[in-house]
Amino acid sequence: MTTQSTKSSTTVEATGPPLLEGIRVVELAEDIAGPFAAKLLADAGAETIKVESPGGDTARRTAPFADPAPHRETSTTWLAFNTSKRSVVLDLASAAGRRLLHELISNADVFVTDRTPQQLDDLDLNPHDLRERLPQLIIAAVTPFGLIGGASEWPSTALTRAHASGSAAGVRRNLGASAAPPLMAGANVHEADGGTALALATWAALIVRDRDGHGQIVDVSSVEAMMNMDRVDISIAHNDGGPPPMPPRKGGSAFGGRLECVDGHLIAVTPQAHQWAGLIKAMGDPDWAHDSDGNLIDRLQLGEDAAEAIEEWAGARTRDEVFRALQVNSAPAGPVLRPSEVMDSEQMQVREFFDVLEHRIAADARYPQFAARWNRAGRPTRTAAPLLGSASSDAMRDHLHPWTPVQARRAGVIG
Amino acid sequence: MTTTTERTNGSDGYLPHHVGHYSLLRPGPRRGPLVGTRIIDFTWAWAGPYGAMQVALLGAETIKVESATRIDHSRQRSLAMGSFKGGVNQAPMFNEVNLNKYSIQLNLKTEGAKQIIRDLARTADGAIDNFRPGTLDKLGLGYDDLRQINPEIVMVSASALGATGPERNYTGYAPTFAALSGLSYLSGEPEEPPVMMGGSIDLRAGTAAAMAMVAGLHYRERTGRGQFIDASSSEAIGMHIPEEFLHVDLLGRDGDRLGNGHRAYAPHDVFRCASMRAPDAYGDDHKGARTGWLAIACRSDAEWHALCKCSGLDHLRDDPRFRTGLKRWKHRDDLKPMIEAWTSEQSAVETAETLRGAGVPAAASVWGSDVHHSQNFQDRGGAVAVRPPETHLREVLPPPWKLSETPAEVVSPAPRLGEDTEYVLGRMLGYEQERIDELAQHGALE
Repeated sequence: MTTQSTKSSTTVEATGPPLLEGIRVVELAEDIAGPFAAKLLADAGAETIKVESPGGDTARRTAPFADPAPHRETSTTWLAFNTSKRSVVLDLASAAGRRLLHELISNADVFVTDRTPQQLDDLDLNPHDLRERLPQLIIAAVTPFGLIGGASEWPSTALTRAHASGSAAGVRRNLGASAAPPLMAGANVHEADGGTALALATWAALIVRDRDGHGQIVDVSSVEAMMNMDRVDISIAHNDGGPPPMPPRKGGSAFGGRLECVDGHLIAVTPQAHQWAGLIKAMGDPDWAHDSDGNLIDRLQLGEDAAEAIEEWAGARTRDEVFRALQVNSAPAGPVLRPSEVMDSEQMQVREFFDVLEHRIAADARYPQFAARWNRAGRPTRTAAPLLGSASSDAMRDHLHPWTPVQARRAGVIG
Repeated sequence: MTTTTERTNGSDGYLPHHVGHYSLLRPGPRRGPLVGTRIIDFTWAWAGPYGAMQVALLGAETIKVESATRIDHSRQRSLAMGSFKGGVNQAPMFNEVNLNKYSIQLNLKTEGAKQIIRDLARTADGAIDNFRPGTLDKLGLGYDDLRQINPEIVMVSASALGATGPERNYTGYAPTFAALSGLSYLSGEPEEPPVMMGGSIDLRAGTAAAMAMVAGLHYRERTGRGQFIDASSSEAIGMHIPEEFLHVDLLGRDGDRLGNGHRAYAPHDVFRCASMRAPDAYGDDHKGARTGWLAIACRSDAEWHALCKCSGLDHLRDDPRFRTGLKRWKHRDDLKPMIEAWTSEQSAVETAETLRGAGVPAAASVWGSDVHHSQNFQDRGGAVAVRPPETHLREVLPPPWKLSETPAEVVSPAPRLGEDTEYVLGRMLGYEQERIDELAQHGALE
């Protein structure tokens, strides 16, 4: 042991260069999975150019908007998944537009795309050809069903992908009501799974690229990324004939579960003996939990009666009271927070999980950052999602020497 | 569609070597991008082990530090299943989040075991744990200790709420991470209470931790600098739902639970079917036949018209309630039983196929073996067969990424408790047998 305290190294002001400083990413992707992958790289400091059609990413048209009236710069989905990028508009229906895209990609370290094999072929961006032409390039593709496989061109949406992966069935299992229909999780979390999978594998491919100069194709199927999130239960169902049915509790299990407090719900989970003991202690050590010798009775033996007593106890208290009482006794618990409550929580504020980013058209707002703090790598300055085509001229100047922005605009290939 | 498959498979297929089943025993040669990297894995439960497993799937030599005095409880029970009746080397949930790893059995309370960790740290590139913040420091094995031995080490410490802040000592599991991040509140049917989320939340937290580790290793490769990375599992879930926080600041309100619904599209739901597959897919006794669910989403008039045509509900096209997208959405509760009257006579898998052929996004809602049976899953290489030493052959999902030059692969089942203790001490660290015996005698290897 040294005399230095933990704090000295874990809370030191990070002063090194940002994680991905100097890495150049070109993104041709829409909606959530591909843009999320590129956003994770962009927020870590990669210089990221998002190529959009003249109409822009479809997410720009996804409700809700900051103002009630639809506006291509104020969709919350658009704003959320496109931070720290620059937007270049190219008309890929024109040969000149495609040529400019190729030039941008030639200067990039990573090409992030969500286009299907057929769409890539139509743009003359066949991954294998691209790989031969640009051996140093990482071609990072997240498509609904993957680049390989008979389903690669199937029509699908977030709903059908979540159900095709087993992920929606996985959510329902946790409700303990198998007769009810399978259910998507909230927000866009299933789609985001494709984005995190792609970002992770791309980052790993960058290690190889930076070490020996070789790029490669990273092929992620969104459906398989979602599938992997439920790999434990899918495996048990497939290999072991399925686990025993969930205990017949309304929302939880014999270890606690979803409890209704006076101001909302709370989740308590106490699979280990000391955690169960903590729950009982938090409740004031009621007699029913102990045998005649004063020993704690196994929770599975207590069954339904214990569950009802716990529900009654929690039902007379606020989420916060139950949460603190359980946590000080080492019983894992968490109030079911609204997103607004997450943002207001002292814990998230002390950790600066949210950055305020300025936007010229939508109001300034708080954006979550990556879920980790690096004690060496410096934190890059993030920016809000770009206005459509706002970097078209800059990109032309920086990357495409033979063209001036005026020439390109006159030729109708940039917005 | 078929031609695409043939082209990509034919010209430069990069399907993993495991195509075709064979039984995998111990960690074999790896080809992933992290080959040559060594990671000390202090994690337990699900989130941390899955994080470390992804690094192992990517090729890192990953050494799980375990102890019989403090058994990883995923070897013994799960939140959903309760107690596992088999032995500690047979738990299916443990196998699924600890593939490709070595297991060394150490009692970290002993000085001998601590010295082993220090020796490992000298040769390691990274370490990952998911204890309460400060736990390893108390053992003298925290980042400050390890960096004295190896300044370039990358350490990811993943905890329920992070290593700073007033709730840093709070503990949690997947369902509490989802609750504390806002995701639980947003999950469920509109008129029902929020959902208690399960294991998938752990695996999402694990993915964020794995990304943090890979980012740290990449940074070290570029700058020669190791670092400490403080990861929060609750933030990991919050990171997945950024738009929901923008709703608060830009719209002044929280989002809603939508179930299988959508803010603008209808039909957009799952519909009950007569069965999962057509009757001839089952034997005469209909063994295995069960309710099927079919997900259908129509985003345009064209998709809606195609659905009407396929379903024989052509008359609905002209129904004034359903004439435009907005009207279909407003009258979605009227629409649902009409569609369900049709699907309840159909099988999910075959009907989804017909609808997709007509350009309508549709999918059978699959689970368990149905996931494995999907043709596209098979086209992409299918499952990997592994044989954990004390149990039966198991088919597990491959990694969620296909890398053309440095493939990520499943190379072994999860290890038995302490299976590789001698290998790690003898082969990796070069300890003499005499020294290993002595460590065992002093209780370091328990």
